[in-house]
Amino acid sequence: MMSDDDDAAPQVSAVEDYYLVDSSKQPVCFSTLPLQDGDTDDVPEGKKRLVLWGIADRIEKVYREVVAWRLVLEGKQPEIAVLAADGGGWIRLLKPKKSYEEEIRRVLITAQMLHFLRRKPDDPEKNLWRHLRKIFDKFDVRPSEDDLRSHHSLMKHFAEKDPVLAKSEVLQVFIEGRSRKNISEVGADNIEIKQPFIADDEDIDEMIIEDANNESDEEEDEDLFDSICAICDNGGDILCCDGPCMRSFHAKKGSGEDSYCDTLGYSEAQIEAMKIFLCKNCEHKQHQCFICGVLEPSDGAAAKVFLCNNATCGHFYHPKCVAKQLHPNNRNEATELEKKIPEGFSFTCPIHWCFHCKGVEDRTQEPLQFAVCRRCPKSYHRMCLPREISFQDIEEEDIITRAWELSKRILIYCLDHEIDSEIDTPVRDHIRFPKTEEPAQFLKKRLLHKKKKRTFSEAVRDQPLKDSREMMACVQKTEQTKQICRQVSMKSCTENLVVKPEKKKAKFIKEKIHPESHVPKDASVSSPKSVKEQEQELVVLPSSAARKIPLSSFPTVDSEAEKRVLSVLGNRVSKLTLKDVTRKCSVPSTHVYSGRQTDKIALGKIERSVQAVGAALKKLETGDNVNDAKAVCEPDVLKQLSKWHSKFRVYISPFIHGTRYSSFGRHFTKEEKLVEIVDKLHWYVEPGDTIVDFCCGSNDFSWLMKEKLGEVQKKCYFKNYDLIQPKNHFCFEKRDWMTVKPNELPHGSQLIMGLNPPFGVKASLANKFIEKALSFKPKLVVLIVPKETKRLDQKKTPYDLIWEDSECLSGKAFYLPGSVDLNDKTVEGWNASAPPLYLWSRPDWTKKHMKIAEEHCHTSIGKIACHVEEENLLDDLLVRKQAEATNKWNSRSGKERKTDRTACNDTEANLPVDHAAKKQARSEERGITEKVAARVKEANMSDKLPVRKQTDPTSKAILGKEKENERYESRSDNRRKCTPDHVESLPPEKQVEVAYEERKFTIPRKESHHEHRGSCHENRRSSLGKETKSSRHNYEQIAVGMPNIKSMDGGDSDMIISSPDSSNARSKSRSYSPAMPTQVPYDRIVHADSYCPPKELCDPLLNRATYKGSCLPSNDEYFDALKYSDIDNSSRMRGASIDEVTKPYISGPTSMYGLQSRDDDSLYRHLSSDDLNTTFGRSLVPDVARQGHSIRYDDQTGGNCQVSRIPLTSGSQTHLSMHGGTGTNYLSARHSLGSSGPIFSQPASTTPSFGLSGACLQGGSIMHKYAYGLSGPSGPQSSIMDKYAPSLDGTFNIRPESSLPQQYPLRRPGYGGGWPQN
Amino acid sequence: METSKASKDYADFLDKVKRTIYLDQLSPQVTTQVIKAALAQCANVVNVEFIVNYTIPYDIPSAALVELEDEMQAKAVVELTTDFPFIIGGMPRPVKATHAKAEMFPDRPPCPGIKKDFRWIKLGDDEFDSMKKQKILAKRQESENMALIKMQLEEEKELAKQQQEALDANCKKYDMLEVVVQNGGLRNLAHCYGVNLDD
Repeated sequence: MMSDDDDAAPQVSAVEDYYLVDSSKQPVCFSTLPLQDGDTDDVPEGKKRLVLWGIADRIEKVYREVVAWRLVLEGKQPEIAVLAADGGGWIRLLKPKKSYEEEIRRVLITAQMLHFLRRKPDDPEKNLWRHLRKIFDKFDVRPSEDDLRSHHSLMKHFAEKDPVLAKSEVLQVFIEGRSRKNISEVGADNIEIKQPFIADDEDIDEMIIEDANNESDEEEDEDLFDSICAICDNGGDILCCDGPCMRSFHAKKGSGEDSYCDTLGYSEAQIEAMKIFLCKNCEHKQHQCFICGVLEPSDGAAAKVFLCNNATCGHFYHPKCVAKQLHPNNRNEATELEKKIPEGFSFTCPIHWCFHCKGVEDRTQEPLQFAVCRRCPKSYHRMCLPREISFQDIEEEDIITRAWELSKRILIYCLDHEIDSEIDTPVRDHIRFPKTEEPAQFLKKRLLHKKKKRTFSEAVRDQPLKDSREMMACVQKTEQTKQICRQVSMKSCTENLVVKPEKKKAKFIKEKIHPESHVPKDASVSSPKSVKEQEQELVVLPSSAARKIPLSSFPTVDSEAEKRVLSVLGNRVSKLTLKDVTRKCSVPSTHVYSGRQTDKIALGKIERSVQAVGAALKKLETGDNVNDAKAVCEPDVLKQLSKWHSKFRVYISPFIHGTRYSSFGRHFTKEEKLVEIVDKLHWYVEPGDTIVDFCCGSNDFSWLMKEKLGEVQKKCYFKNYDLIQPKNHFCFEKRDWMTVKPNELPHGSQLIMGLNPPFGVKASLANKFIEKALSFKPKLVVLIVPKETKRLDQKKTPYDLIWEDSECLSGKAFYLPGSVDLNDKTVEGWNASAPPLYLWSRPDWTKKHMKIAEEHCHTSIGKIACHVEEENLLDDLLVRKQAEATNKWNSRSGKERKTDRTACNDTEANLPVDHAAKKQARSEERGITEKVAARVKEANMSDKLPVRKQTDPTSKAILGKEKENERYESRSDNRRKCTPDHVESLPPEKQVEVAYEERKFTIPRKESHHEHRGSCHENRRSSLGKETKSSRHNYEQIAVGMPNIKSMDGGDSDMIISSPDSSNARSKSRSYSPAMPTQVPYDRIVHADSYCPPKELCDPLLNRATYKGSCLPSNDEYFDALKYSDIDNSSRMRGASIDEVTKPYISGPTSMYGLQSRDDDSLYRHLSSDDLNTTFGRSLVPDVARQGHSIRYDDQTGGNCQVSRIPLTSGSQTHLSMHGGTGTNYLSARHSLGSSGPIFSQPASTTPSFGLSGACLQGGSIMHKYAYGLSGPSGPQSSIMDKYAPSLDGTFNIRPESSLPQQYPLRRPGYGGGWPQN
Repeated sequence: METSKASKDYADFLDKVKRTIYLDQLSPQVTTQVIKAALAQCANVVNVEFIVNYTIPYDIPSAALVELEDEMQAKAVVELTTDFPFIIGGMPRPVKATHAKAEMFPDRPPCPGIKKDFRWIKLGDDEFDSMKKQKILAKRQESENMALIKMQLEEEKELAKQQQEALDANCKKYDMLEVVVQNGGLRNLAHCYGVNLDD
């Protein structure tokens, strides 16, 4: 290293043109070194070293390792020096290197500020700024408070050390402005210091830059939830507990410095390692009552404190305490409530109503925003806030600041709490963690701690004892100790030494009880090693620690060799930083990876919000008014939930579609489509033009274009950009489009630009690409972009639309390069909603282009979209009709067929009942639904009813009707148009990209199906009412409901699982197949209800027996196959009969079904359904298949019954699309992951009384996940697969069935009450 | 005659080497087809040869020699994998591509002009000491290699565990959200509040 040279190097006293770098050669500010005082030349112990580069004496190059820095204010200019590590003394830093200036700008400003203030302590602040701005005028950014803020500790240091500065009011203001809750208006000159609530640590700054987009979302989320540290009530780098308390903490040591926060004392590495962080309270399920502060168990039978049911509230209460506050004037009600709470009655704590006017919060209206006390359940509306709770100190009235503004809330300490003038908050003894081996060490008085650390070098040794003492004292929390604490803290700032003995005395006894337990922890905590080093240790340690466990098949490794390797490795590792790695892993700009932030969304928050939604619904249904519900679950929570949902969807989808994720989510336009485009476009090209494809992909377009133009004798130039080298090098340049400079391309009037840019979430990337393209002012822009892309006629310099063709790219217009499906064919993209092809013209060329367009009739085409989809639908309808006609069942859609099939043992008489019920449901539903939705439904109905009425329709007649219907629908509703192709599977990569689009379309669909479901529920209820015996009481009802579903499940799954002989295989197929899950939720949501009646009639007795049977296995943690067998039998019986019915379907129409059944597995674009194996293969998740199951699977493919599944599936899918869709594509994809387990288990866990152990299903889900290779990142993946493979065979056939019947009755109760209200 | 043929063979072989890339860290699920498709974005695959890893008696995802159409394509692929984390066949990890070297081919033709000669070296021979040293070095390197692999595996396992945990946690969160979205509770309540969730 350099130290060799250093030995010989002469003494250097000052350097110019200097800069400092860290071990990774990154320039860093010297202020990251420890600040050392005055004149000592001793090299401090700290491990942190930087290398100083610079020029001494104008000629001599200098590089030195430096360990500390100092700031001397005494001279004419502030003098900054760094201490050489080799004992060479202080080196003055004169003039920084130009490029380094930005790095140290802030600390220089701070230094100048201190220097100025020291000379003129009484000058007004204005002068200071004038001075600073004069000195730093060469910087682009003028010095501001922001700059000072980042060196707050430096200011403090000098304020304490330097008597002159200590008196400077201006400096005090700066320091206070920082340490206070940031938001106060600074008195002196009334200069407003607007500080962001989130302290801008340097780390965080970086993050914000990185995640600029995400951050905005994130902040909203933090508004809604408690986003300030529970300990010190300040913001900053905080960590949110994933448990029910939802509190945030300064978890990292030193993170809450400004507010003297004690933090939880974790190291950075520890935090990094925690994927789910639970605070000690949540971990041990012991929480404090927010009113009396006593720590009590909060879980299980021994629970003494209970959680408020508000979504954003994490406070626990004793029933007695909260009841008293909720009914302060009515003792009877209070006692009643007190009794009810332990029995599970949910309550909303008083903090959610204004203490003054008892109204609820409304974040959207400023006067109705809440000011919430941090110490007790007391809130005020902004307008109701008592005057004594003030935003600033009013000295003459002896009012101290008790309120601080957050973005949509106010944080207060109400008048019950005495403010400690040192820390500006009440005494921080409010949090107690359960006693564990690790002491809750922050309970000590932090201020004291802080000061000590600074002034006493022996603090390291002393601290532990003191800490323990203090903690114990606080735990005791007698009034007396509290008093002492306060006194102590007052004094501590002036006389630390005196304080110490006093404290010792006070806590002497306690200290004796538990002295030793705290020592080790604290010792490690205060070890002098920097976080970074600890981290490095951790990187190396696991491997050395794990060394003792030999791998069975691994050859023994001799320890000598290992040590050698380790030492080499250690060296390397220490040089490797995360930054280097992430820099290497940068992904092309054409591919955004969203969802990095999902880790930050705390589990507890989601859990609580979800629960609160349920609780709020319950409230509404029991007749409480909307305000009561809002107190439980405010509207913003709903928004947050849906935001989270879409976030997670984007985040999770790559994992689901993992195997196919090999191409950065690129999608290429198919060649035949390109030919079409070229055909159209070449008319507009003039000789000499340059055609630029800014994201050329496979580079086919320009090649085709060239050929075409060659034919018509136009000579043009081409330029193609992409990040990935295509096979075709024709005029290709490997470049990021964003980096192409204007002078690299010809003048705009010779430019034709565009084609298929990457879309990105909400078309963000497409917009970026277009924006860039427009900077070249091309005369013509041709684009394939999603509809939500910002249109070019809305840009700053608007372009004119020549034509727009939304038809051209519908259907299979894209393929996903680099992907293969099961049959080793490239996966084709069946696009969601076809991105239109646009031709935009620069205004001065519009006339000309319009003329060409008219000449060739380009303008007339493509305005009406979705021909292809219509045809598809037509096809499948036709097919279905035929099939149905053959069976003489007049039902129209797949689900009906299912029912009918199930019911086919019984009389046809079921049908009328069914239909009547449905009609009723429909009409109700129509009332509720939005107009548009209703229209869709009507459309469905209109074709459904007549069809049904015809007993033996000829396929022709139906066909005619369908056509009509189709036409009607596509005309009536734009949404309708989108749904079929939406259901018609998105390519998964695209799914990420088109997430927005998807959301847009799923919402209407969901709405409609939700409506649908509501009505179905009605229907179901009425049908149940008919069943007198079953409606005797609730449980009975449930019991009946269960068989219904069971039978349906029998039916449905028969459809999937069908024949008895290969049930094993089938259930496997079921868990693997994306098709099935789509069906299941779908059935569950819509049809389960509306179709029960026939099924009930079908075989109630058998089913009831089945229910009992299925209960047992599901309570069992490992599903008992034997117990289950009788259920299986019952379904088999059914299955057999169904098979008979289904078989006829198989014969002809499968290939036709290919078209619409595509939606059932979003994964498979490829659909050569003429061969059944393929169709079947389609329903397999490809990776699983590839992972060795395919063989086993294929063996079973021959089964007739499995094949029979296909038409059924597609039937139901079609139905999906007919109804405007139900199972979202995503859902299906989600399910294809195989975690039907967790999904079903959710309702179970909310109503645990049914004994379904959610945990076992969770376990199952993990197995599913394993099975799907989600353990992906691990190297030896196959071994995991193997491990779980046997269980796949065994468990899978059981689980889906047993969890299904479980789930329905579980849903029922909520249902029974919940839906009719709406 | 024979030498000219041999040298021609060798020249051909060297050409082949030039257009061949060495793909490392492939997941065990990757097949020839998958490689072909993945690389089809920038190159045409002529031949894929999976290399069995003999150096370790342990099942580690193998590597492959992929012959492409020309040197240009080989360069493109190598650039692609070095510039970006390029993933073939799903999740596990990005693959690494390097230009192949002649030594990587088990069936390479003999290099003309170099004659290989084998003999035993006895104690007392001139080369004996250096040979001995080399032998020891080889052994030592082998054991170090093993230790390294072991450590790597352990770390990977740890990492995989962490990632799995994170994924599980996220999955759980998603499932929770999914339930409330799917059962309509969210929408229902939003309807009651008169809130529009779509913006």
